[in-house]
Amino acid sequence: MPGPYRASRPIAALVIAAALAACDTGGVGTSANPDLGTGNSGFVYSGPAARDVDVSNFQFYLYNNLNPDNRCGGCHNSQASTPVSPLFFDTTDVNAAYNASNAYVDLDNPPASGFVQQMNGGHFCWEPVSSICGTLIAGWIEDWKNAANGGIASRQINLQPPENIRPPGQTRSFPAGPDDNDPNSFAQTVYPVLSGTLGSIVGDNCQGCHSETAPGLPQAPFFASGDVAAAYAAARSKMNIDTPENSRLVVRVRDGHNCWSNSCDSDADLLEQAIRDFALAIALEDIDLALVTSMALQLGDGIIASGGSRHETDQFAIWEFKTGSGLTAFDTSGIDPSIHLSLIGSVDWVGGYGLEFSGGRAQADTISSDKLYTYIRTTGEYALEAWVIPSNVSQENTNIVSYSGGSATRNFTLAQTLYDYEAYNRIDSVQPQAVNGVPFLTTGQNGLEIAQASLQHVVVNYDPFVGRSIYVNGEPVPGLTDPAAAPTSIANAWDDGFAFVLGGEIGGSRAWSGQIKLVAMHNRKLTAEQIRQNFEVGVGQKFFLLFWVGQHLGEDPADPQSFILFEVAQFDSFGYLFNRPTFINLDPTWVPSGSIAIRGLRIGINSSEAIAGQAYANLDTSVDAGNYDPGQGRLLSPLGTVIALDKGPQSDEFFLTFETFAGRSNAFTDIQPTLPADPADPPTPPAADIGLRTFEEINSAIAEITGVPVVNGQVRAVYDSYIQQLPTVEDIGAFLPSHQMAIAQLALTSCSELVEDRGAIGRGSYFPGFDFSAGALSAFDTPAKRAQVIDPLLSAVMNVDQALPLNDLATQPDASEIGGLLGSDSPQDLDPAIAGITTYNSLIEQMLVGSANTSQRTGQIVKAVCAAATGAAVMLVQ
Amino acid sequence: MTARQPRLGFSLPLILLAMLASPALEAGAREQAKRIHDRLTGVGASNAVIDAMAATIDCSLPATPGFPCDATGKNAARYAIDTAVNPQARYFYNVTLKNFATPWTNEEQTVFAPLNDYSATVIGLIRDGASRDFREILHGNVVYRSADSLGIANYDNGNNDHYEQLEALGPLAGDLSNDSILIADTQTAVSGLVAGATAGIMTSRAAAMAYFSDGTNRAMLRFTLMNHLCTDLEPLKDVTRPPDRVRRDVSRSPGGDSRIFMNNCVGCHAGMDGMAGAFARYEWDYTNDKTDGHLEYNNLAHPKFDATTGVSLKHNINQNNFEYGYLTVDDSWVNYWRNGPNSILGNRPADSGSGWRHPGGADGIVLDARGNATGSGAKSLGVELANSRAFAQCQVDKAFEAVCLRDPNQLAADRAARDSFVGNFSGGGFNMREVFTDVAAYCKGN
Repeated sequence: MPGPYRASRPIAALVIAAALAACDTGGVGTSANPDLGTGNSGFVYSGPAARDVDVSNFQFYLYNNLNPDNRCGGCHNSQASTPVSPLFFDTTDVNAAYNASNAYVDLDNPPASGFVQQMNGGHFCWEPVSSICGTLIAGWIEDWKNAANGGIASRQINLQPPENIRPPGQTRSFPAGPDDNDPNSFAQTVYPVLSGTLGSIVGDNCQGCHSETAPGLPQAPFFASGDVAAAYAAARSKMNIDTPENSRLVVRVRDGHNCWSNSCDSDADLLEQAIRDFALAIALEDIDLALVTSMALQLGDGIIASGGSRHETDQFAIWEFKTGSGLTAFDTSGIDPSIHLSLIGSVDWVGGYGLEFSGGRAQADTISSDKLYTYIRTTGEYALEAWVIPSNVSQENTNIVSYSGGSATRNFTLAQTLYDYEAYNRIDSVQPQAVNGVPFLTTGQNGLEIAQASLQHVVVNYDPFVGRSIYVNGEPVPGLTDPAAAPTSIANAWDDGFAFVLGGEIGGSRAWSGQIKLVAMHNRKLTAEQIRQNFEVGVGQKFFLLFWVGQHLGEDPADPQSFILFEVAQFDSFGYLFNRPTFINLDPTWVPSGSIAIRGLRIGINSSEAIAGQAYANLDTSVDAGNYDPGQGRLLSPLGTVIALDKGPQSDEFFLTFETFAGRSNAFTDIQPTLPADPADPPTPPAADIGLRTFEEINSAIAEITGVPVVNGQVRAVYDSYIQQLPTVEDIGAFLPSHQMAIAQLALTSCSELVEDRGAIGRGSYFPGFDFSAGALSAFDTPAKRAQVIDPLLSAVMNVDQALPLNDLATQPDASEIGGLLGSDSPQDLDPAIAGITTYNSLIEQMLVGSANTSQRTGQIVKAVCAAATGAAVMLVQ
Repeated sequence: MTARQPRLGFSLPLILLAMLASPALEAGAREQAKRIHDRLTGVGASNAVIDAMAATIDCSLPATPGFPCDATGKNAARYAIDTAVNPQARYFYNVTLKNFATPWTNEEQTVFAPLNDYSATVIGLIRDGASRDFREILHGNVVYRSADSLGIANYDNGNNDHYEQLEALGPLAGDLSNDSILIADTQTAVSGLVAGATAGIMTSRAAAMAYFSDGTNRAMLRFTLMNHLCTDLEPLKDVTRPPDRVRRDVSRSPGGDSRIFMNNCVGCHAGMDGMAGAFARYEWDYTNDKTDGHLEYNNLAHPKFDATTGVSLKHNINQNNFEYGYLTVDDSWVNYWRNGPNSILGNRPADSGSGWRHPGGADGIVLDARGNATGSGAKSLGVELANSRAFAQCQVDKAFEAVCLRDPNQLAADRAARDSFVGNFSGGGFNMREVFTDVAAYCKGN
């Protein structure tokens, strides 16, 4: 079959083979009949034999399952204490039962079968929730249908035009400007809250981050911009004027995103009310008549396309979480005893089937859990299959699925630690840790980061002769070796007193954070092909939505058969998946008479085009006889996209818009950004006018001052040691004492090299006239001798012009003051305005106190003076 | 003054205090000259240089040959970074510009990285600004290397020894202001990369090691935006762009919550993944230590590349995170940010039209029917980025911050000056050397 759809009926309805599992692989193999075990009934049929294969299939898949006294056979049976017609499940004659049941079975679309609809409508269900019976019966009919199809697990989907075709409803549109709708304009309602200018709450609201001028890193979108027009442009996509409580602005604050008061709820209420005030002033209008649209649909108008082609031959327990509410998650395998799970603690239902765990767990009792022990012990092998979404990849030692007796004893567990899935399995062993399923097999064995915070299909296989293996998203995790060397056995080690639990350990420890959308247990390992098959089937309920576009292909009459077909699913609690848009005419003989241009397709929800997720906005294609496949349609895009859920899957209404469809056009108007005005100057200068030299500049500056090059071995060694202790930014407010210590080391080293005559400039040239051979007491015994050391340094450091003092720089310190601090023979006062302790003797004076009268000491003093001048702020500040 | 017993044994802090305590005084031409020199070269000037520079500012002083009097200070700045007249000008290239560019060359944004082909090329293009358009930095077939005569290791695709040895020569023997020491060459001649695959510093060895190693090559776009358009992705978030180029490795429901994708992830990925497709054929190949790796491009025989498309395999990793997403099969790119809020990226109030200034129809850029720029490969993407107003402003802003030591966006006067410098830059052949003289003159002090 060349594609997913096939025509088999001429008019009004088109049967397509969705072949959900076969989209990429070209089909799946045959399946053996499911092993229903012995737990579902004690019924043994003794009437006339089934007259043909179809009746036989009916008997095997439906009749046997529904005949027990506590199910349909308890009433719709001539042998019941009070028989109720029709006798669907008459235990005396399967052929008569088949005849009575046939009208209530839809093999084309099992979920649409009368039996299923009856159960979903609340007819006597043997399980606590009637929809569970509906799910079970739909599954058994599906098995029947697959058997009738020779075991080919592909689905024939009967595409029929939706019954309730209608135009998109009314909507509100955003006013053009922030001041429109006075006194309920954006500027008067929402903006004061966002920008923190509302009288009672003046302060740092959203503008602390969501403004171009926010301190630190401004965070887009700038809906709290100082420019209200710019703020309005940015805020539009964050406000829902149909349902203000669903506005992103409100939801984020209500979820605890940087609220400005002590109560996020009250902040969210304030915002919600402001948006409501703003929205209610906007009149409801019909959808823009200029838009080129399809007709509208709800999810319920779609054709169910999910389920049916999983490999379930040896499946004896499955949790699909379809009920969506309540305190019990049901095992819908139909194999007794059902392992129903009680929800304990923080466990929530999620949209599109699933449970979300955030500290809680779903746990069975040990009696029903015994089914695991019983079924798996009979084969000695098993496969654990789960669709999971870890909340994060930072959690450690957390249980996703477990059959255990506590944190130290278990039969098996699927766990997560960081990026790894871990498979524990209890085997016959003398090792004490074996009772805890240790050693476990981890997907991180070779350093791969397998677990992701996204939807993943995980299968743990156990086989005594091969050991454990883990498959993720249909593929084996490469290179794994079970640390428990095969062969192994679980025959004697397992404990039948354990309980089955999801999301943690029994008792609540090892709590896992994430979502589980399906768990299934098989008492045979799954082959790679079977795992791939189940992965490709996916999880959750899918629909085919047929958006009618025939009104654009003819007016009198309109074309009743032309649609844009989308595969749609509720993706999670907050979004819908729209996938593979296809133009199709339900008449399998139809071919386009000309070229149908389709350009700029957008998805609308509740009368407005969705803000995010318009993956087909750039679509630019056409449908013509050359590319249209009758009965298959024309795939417009292979992409899927996620659209935000608004009012919920029961209420949300979808439609499509086009920039061009078959000659009808409406230009899309994109967001026209507004450039915000510049902010006013701050009252005080934002930054100092001066700054620091940074590390390499300091090194170079000292080299230039002393004449000792940076490539000098001593200097380079010190610089390399201290480089990261030197300033790296010019901000003068970032100066630290450690910076000064590094500068001192560098200055002392360079000055030492200079005085030791190892610089590029000889010390005699640098300090002309100074006698380095003299003892310290005589070398500095006159101001003139001291000046021979100090003056060259001051010239080099701060451009003191010895010949023309008027040239001294006004932005530099006073030369005589610095000279005095370095070498005056009289006390120096740093700041005459402060009395007392600010008076010092100069550096040379201090170093001469008790000094030896040697030339070595002379050199030391020159080095100190040099370093004091060179390593000072006058060098550092620029 | 009264004599006191000495209380301190070491005078460095004392003198530091003395320096900082000095009152701010009005700056004359000599003071302005000193500041210009300090800020550009990082080292103090000699009195002779200050005299010469001051004479270009104060027209009452004897003129400096070759540098006519210009009270704005711009000629003084030109003097400060001209090695022919100022021996300390070399520090502008060896120190100021080296540290100006170094943080861009590594993911950690450290200034302590050694000289490499990325930073050397930035230095060279600024030094040769009179003849080299600085936009080449994002699309040119250009790399600066040392002259063969220096006797250091040759350029090697597998290590950085060449540049580290050049740096170790110091500011004299390794004077980067000297065009017979640091010379311009083509990447094709030096690294062997085919001309069509060269894209300025984006295809330098240093950038490739930093941003093409591991990951998904999106880092090259993000860091190029940060370093050369002065914006991270956060301010560019726009959830209204079509997500049809968002790759399959991006979960549409992180942790089971699609709101995160629809309100956050897609805001960056819609635009980013569209543009980052340009890097699809690059891969940093290494075994254990990435510093020993080398750049591979479109190598059909290499195990890290698709043997048919030449796309590096990492572009299609984790496909099951969203199997309905975009599959990379070539190195095409599209700039969706030409529409919507980011269409005016970098614009100032006086500007009209798009912030993306390349007209399309040349340099490998084609504008589609919606006005989105499209192309194939990193070179044409580099042209798209380098012709944005944000690029021009970013270069000026960075120079302004390096020289004036403050953000030019905070004061009206600074913004006005900056805008005029952007105009000079854009209208003057994108001479980055002149940008430094503009900002140094502006911040010379009053």
